Amino acid sequence: MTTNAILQMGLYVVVLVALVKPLGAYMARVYENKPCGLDKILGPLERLIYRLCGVDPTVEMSWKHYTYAVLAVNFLGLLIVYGLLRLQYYLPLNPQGMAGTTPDLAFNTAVSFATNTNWQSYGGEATLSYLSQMLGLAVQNFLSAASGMAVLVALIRGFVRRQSGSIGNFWFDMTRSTVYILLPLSIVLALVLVSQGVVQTFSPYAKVALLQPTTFQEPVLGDDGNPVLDEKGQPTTKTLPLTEQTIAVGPAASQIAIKQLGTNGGGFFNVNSSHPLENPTPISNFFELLSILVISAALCYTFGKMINDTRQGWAVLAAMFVIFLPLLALCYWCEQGGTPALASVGADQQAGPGQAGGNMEGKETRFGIAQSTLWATATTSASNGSVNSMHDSYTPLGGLVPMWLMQLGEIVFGGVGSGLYGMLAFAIIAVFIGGLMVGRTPEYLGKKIESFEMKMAAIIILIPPIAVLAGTAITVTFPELAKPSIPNSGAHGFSEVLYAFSSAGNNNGSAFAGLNANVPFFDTLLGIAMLMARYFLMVPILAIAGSLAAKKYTPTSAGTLPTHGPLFVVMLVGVVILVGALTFVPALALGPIVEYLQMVE
Amino acid sequence: MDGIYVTGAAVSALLFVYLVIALLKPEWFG
Amino acid sequence: MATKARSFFDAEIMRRALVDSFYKLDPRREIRNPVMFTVYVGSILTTGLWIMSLHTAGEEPSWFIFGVSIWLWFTVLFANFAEAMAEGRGKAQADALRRARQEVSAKKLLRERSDPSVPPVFTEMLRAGAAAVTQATDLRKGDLVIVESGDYIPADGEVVEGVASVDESAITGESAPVIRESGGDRSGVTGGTRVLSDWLIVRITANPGETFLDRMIEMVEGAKRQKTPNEIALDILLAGMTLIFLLVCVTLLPYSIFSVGVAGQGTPITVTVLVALLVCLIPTTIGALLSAIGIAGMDRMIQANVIAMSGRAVEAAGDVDVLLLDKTGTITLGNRQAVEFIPVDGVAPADLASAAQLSSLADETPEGRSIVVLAKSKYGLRERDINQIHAKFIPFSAHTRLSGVNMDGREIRKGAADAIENFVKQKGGSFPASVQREIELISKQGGTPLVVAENGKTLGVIHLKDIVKGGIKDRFAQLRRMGIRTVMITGDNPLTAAAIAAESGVDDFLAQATPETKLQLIRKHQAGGHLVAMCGDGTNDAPALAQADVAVAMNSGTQAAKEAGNMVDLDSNPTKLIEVVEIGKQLLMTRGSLTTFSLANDVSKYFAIIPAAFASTYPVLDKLNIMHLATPTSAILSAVIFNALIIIALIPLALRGVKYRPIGAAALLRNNLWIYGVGGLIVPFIGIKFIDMALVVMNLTGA
Repeated sequence: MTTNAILQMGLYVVVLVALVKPLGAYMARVYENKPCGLDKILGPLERLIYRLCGVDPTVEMSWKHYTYAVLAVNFLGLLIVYGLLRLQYYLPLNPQGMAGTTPDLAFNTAVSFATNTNWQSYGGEATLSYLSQMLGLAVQNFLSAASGMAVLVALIRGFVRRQSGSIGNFWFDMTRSTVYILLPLSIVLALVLVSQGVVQTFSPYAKVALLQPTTFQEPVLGDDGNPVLDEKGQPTTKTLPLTEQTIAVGPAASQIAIKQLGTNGGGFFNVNSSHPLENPTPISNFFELLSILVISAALCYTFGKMINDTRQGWAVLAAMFVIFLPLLALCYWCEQGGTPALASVGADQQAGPGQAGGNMEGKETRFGIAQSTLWATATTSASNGSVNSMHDSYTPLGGLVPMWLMQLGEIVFGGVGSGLYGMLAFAIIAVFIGGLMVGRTPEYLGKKIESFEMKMAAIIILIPPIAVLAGTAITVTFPELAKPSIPNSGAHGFSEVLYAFSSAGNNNGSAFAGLNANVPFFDTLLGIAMLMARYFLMVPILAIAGSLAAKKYTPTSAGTLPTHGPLFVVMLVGVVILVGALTFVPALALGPIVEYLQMVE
Repeated sequence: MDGIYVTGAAVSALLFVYLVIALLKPEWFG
Repeated sequence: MATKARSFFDAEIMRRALVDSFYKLDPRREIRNPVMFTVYVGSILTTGLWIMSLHTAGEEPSWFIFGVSIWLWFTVLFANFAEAMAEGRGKAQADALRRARQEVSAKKLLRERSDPSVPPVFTEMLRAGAAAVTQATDLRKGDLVIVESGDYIPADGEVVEGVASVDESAITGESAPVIRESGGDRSGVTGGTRVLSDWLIVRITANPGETFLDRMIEMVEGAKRQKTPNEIALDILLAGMTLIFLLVCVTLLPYSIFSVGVAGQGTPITVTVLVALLVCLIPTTIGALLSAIGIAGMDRMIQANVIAMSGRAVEAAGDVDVLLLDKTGTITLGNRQAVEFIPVDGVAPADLASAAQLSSLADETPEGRSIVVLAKSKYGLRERDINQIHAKFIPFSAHTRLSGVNMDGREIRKGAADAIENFVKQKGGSFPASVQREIELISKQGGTPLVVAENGKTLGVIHLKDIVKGGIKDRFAQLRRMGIRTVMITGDNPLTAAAIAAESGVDDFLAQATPETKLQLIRKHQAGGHLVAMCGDGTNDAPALAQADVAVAMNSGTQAAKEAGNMVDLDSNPTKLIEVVEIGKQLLMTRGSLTTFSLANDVSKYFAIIPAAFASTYPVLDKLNIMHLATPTSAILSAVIFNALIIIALIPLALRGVKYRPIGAAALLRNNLWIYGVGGLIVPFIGIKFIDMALVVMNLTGA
């Protein structure tokens, strides 16, 4: 590792950890309805929302009631986005005159944003109107993130409450997540981004003259729309001059802020945060990078605070870092190491003052290896999915890291709310096995873990592998549906499909760029995977919350498995890694691992 | 070969259903 | 038990277990265990593939499919064998118990006895038409029977009249007869036991098939064994893991076909290899041993002479964190003992000792004997024969509350302070204030003061003390490290109770306990989320026993107590509670440890099977063959064989249980993670390599 890389990554981790406690404590106050400092300014907005929606935020909900509310809000959001995308041509704020999207793309995109996945089958600036971006996607960025946070808070209440039939009020959790947490942070971040040159405008796309005019070839089409053939049967082409370029612009900064903070990841532009108008400078890069993980990490502290034992929150956060840091190092090491293919043709892959060295294919020179691999690792450990480099171009093992981080279930930081509740489901499994090993029927945070909790936790660890493995299997079984979309042959083609389903099946949304997923087959199948991964997990989590809330509290004693020490962290990490490894090793062996072995051979 | 695959697929589908029941309704096999 | 504890590896038990493992292949039995049923289905599938391969060209060489198939069957059989072994000892005990339940006839009373003062004689009653002979199986709850010397007691009941010595060895294994009498806490009798002398009239309290003996047979045999809640929860986890691996293996086929297509070489993975991989990955080790662990836990209870009425109770024992212990017999020896003579001013200590000894010579109570012994050991006063010294013993009476001796004009008395004060004042003497102070001091220390006086003179005080059992303090410290609070229950006053509590090291005490306060105490702890264990024997203990989470009834206790409890201690030893808790913990730990071991095993199996399975498509994957297994076929066979043999290898551990040590949860977890987690990662690498080497030697590698 170069000193420079260590400094960059070290600074990132230090700032991230430093923010955990203040932000985490603030969020705990928000959810516990205590004064948090912004009540004077935002209180009226909060109350206005309740009044406009006609909801009473003080009514306690059972877990079923809570579930209905979550699902209803998400389903409505899904419908609205679908409608907007289909009808955008007829709606205002469409200076480029974008046509309505196909049904399958609209379905895929709507699902993608409702589920906090933000898989981009669409190409931002080439497909969507400003209205679709703002009213459709940006609003969903807020709502899907807030839904995840609300469900987490409900689960935490399940641990806190004793013999209670309710787990809080969804409208309260949802509204306060949005108004007090996501909104202020987004405004601050958007302003920072604008200061760095991220665009924020309603103007139509700009046309600029090329500094170096060029020419390009275009096939000559006949009246029937088919290429005109010459006497040899080859399509004829004509050469055209190219003197100007269209620069896509739009209300980007506001949307990018929430896309990062809410672990959404759907870029305003198709190439996401590698686009110079979406992420222009190293400073914008640092803040975007920070906002990927900051809420998810701080929620660990919120969790500890709300259950009145912050050690528990730190332990969970420690487990996340224990998985995150080695994988980051591995990813960086692979990319900085370069490839034997380049070495064999005599390319200098050493890092030096003039160059980043290593494998720079698909990476931006203004970010280099360290910022690119840091982003790749962070965005896939959190279920963000935004990119500032193309993961498809990574070395086999470098690309395996983001893929495997997603396959772990998006619980290493993970999505806002969803990451921690997923991790807590794994903690329940770890506690179950660990608790037995110390000779007690297991309990976590004073609540007995019994068959109902196990059933739900088993479903939670089961669903993502089903979505990923079955989706990949269906795709490779019917290659006639998939083949036109898989440009790369060999093991890498398999890796691309596996990556796509790992991303959708864990609500991440990042993509190996090589795969063109905007065909009805992928749109539909990936859409189903996203729906499964989101709601088949959310509902069992709420069921666990309800069941735990109804239980008595078991006081801890010397015979209780301690869940705040390094030992439990090791145990939790072990369970996560073991389940992740055991489930995906065979598939990875046929993809990236084979690629790697072939590369070094 | 196809016969083997069909049999294998059928058996694993049944096994899958059985295991799902074992997961959701363990008391049926208590 | 009637049969002495047998070793698990008794030849007879092994033989029976071998036969049983084949009987257990019944699909209706196998389907109860999700993991093993999956192996079972895999065995059938590969057997089919093998038969096919005999007729047409199969997907793999016939001998290889046969090898996989036969080892899958072994895996299933080994699991059955483990369960049968665990049941074996119980079955042997059940047989012995059944012999005690032989068909007996009963002498049934047809009407209540009119004159209880006349001892009943069955033959006379029969003649008078007041009784009849019936079969024991015809008796119903509420019937009255007479049991005479030499008769078997036909069913469980409560003695309503009479006193008799009863041989209960059929149930308890204890050959010394016990006394059973009406009223009080020794009124319960058990069907199948035998009256040795005298007679009893018994009111039957259990219908046929519901008697204690019946329940005991069911329990030790495991006939009505239900999965316990924790077992069900673990089963869910195992079913979930099995589902994941099923999915992994099923999807591997299309992946493999696709890879063959893109790589342009090799053949897809075969169904035989996929089944082998599946069986290696699913948690067969714990799946195979799970029910054996549960049965063995019950069995360990039986070895400790405790009959648990359900597996649930054994499990709950591991969770207990509050232990209610009766003071007498558990914390202290049953009796108080004299520890010190404290003379009043002007009386020589030896004189007091001598007077105290004289007054106690004929006193056969343990307290009295301890006074004699103390005088002898401390002052060298030899025991004197009460008849030789012409002394007249004055026994204790409830009226005077004094006992003592009259000899040669000396009237020596000992007794409680107020009684002696009366006695001395009657004789015209005085009761010194110093004695009063000593009395208070002794009470404060948890002792009982006995004052000694001769004629009108108060000589001094004897300090009688509750003797706390040796080693009990360490035991409580141990319990504290296990996370268990101990609460002493006593009828003493709070002062005395506090002193004994401090000396014995219990965490808390309940003084002047009544059945109501006991019940309240249990409820209070349970409301705080604690699990409470207690033991009891009397009818007035029944409500508390019914409320406690783990309630051990003494076998010597009343029927009501036994029915309220969920365990019965045949030795009637209250200290047994501690052992019961340890057995419960051991059961849970064995489950957890083997689950960890089972999951950790999978890593090595991937390293064995993945390179082998795709050797033809991607030869580079051989780099993952870090064990350097000889050939793809030997690699797969080795993994399958290891997977089966490890079940056999772990049967002793499953039956004996993982050792529990009271070192605190964190240390326990660390130890077990090292042994079963890290061990589970490493052991199979070694095992698979050895099996592979053996296959090479036997030329079974297919190369």
